[in-house]
Amino acid sequence: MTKNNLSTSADKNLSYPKAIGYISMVDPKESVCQDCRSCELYCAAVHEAACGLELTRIWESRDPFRGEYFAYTCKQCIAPSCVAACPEDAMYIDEKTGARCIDEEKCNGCQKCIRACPVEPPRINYNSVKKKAVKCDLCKDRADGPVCVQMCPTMCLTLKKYK
Amino acid sequence: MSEQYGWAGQILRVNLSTGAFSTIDTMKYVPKYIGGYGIALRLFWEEMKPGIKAFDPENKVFIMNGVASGTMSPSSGRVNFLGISPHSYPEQPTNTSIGGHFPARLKWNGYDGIILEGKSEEPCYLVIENGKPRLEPAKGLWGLGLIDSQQILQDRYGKNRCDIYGIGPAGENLIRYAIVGCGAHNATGQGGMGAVLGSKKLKAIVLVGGKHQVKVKDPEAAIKAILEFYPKKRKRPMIYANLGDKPDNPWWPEWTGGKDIFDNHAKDWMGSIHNMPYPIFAKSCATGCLGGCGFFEFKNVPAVSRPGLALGMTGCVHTRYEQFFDRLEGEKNFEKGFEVHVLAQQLGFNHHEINYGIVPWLHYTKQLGIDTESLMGMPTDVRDHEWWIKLLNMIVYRKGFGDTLAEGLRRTVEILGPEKYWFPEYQGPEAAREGDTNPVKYPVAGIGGWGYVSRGILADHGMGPAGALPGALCWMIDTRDSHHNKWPDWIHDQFLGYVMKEPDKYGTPFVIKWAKDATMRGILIDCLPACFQFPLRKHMGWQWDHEEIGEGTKSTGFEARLFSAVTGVEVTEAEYYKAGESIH
Repeated sequence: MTKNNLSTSADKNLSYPKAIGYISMVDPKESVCQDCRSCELYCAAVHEAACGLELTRIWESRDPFRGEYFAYTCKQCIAPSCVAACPEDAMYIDEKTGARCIDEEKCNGCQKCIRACPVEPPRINYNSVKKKAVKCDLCKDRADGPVCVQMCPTMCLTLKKYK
Repeated sequence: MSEQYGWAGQILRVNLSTGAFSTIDTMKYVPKYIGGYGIALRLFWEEMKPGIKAFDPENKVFIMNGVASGTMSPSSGRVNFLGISPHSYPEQPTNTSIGGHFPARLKWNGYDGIILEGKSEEPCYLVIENGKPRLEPAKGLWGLGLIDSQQILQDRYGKNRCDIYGIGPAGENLIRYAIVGCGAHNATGQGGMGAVLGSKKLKAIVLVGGKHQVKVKDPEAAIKAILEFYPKKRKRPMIYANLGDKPDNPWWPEWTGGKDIFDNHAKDWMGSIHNMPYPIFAKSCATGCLGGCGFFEFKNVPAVSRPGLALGMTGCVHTRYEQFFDRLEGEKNFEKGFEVHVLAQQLGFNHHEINYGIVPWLHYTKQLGIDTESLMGMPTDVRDHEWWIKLLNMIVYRKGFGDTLAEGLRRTVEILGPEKYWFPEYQGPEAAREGDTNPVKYPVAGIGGWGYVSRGILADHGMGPAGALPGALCWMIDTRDSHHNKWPDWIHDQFLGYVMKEPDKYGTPFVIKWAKDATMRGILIDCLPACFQFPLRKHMGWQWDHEEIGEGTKSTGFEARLFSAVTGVEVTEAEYYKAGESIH
């Protein structure tokens, strides 16, 4: 694991290195979500060796009565308010991918990062069993890259690069 | 989190007479009975006494997900329903299954299943919220359509926070072939489990939230194994094209295998109904689906008989509604069929019974001069969508002859007299496909095993009685409609080999082995559970990156591999098959 610990109290005002990108949906003219939730399941499985609603770092929103299905996850914000909000310096920037990550050992489960997330719904999950926050880390340690992108049957997910 | 892999460890028992809840320990039954149907069947034989009828409060419904539910095991978004079936003739234990995201959420609520017993005095619905069950009154929901009532419940408990199974007026009014459904499309199909829930005054089951975490033995190893079975991924945009036309349909070569002989099949199966000015989308119908196996969701389709827009999915048996209209002259033919289709789902009917059974029966008897019109009190016109709407309303509210048809086609012809109303043979265009160059030859009532309406597997497909023998044997050794879990590609291939090449069709041991293998496969797929379309079927349009798509795809070995990958319990294919034999 490579860490870039920028979130010490002295560093709070520093700008953060950009992530390489974030997980996003492709243009719907190209492909759409088929409502299978594979992204959620594989995400939880590779990170936690378990599946459950509190373990996933990506979510599918669905309304079967209106035919609306889409996936969403962390935007890997250029100015990540979650990192700044963490009182335990448990959040760090991965050196290789720039993903905004949570150090599980340091996380005290206060959920301030979740409340600080600027988008609705927040893109950080809370594992109430371990009492830890969990979020998308772009599968930084996987040789095959983000598992949601790898396993999506309709290829509607992609790693959208920051320019 | 549970210590064991896969299973949640407990099954919820709900007594609707007393409102009491309790649990039983799943681990007493596994790994021997695997999960899903295996445990349901074991519990059924432990708890049910002889002589119980389908609508008795003593009838129980065993709703079981499986060891793979709620994990990333592919196509695992299924649950089994088992109970005494009012649809089966005679009433007897029958299982059926349904998809959606309910099965996974049931596991995430900490349960491997639900046992429903007793009967509520007043209409109610069951809520399980973060593992805690409660019963709520259903006064404002009873009488509403299956889709409408789910939308109210979704608004009540939150989009993305809940998953629902429910019944429509057909279930409430004890129509013997009523479904349990979810969303705008999914259904338990054959078996009449919606009517059993109706008899218990249970309108719906709502799962909310869920904090349970399902351990998976080795995710990366499982992903590696799953990728062997993974079809070639392809982008799936919204489509604005005529899928019934060869030049327009990007999947035509896949649907037909590139063989002209199957062009008619592709057209009949998916039809020119898809030449519509509405976006078409190949949607999955259950958690973990890799394929979207030919079900197409349409939205914002204008209704014809009233103002409004409708959403629904066509494909497989559902497509029949639109096929009755799609070759007519005039306008809005697709919309007429679609309106009838969505109404049938709202009312909570099993589409098989309606559009392969009752409607063709009324049509064929008319063609042969057998008077069913005076029974109906109106002329039969299967090309008139207003006639369909009247028919569905007659049945669901048990008006006039609809009260008899509510008992199902098998019981209807028994009441009227099978010599006159079942056995006469119709030969001519298939009811939905007037003008088709391939005439059919059927008894006027298309009834298969155990009184279920058959899609034709027991009828003459030009193969003669010997060709129907393996399928008939399948029906005889199990009470579930064979079509829906027992016949993957490899079973189809073996069957075609027998039909085309076997010189001694009655003397060969193939028939018995085939029927047994097909039944074991059906049972084992229902124990995981996994969708019956997996391993994915080549003739449904999937392709793979490699020639061989993984060991075990031509047997029940695939199911064994998935079981081991999720649970960490190493089993060989032979051991897994033996477990199926034990369960059956």
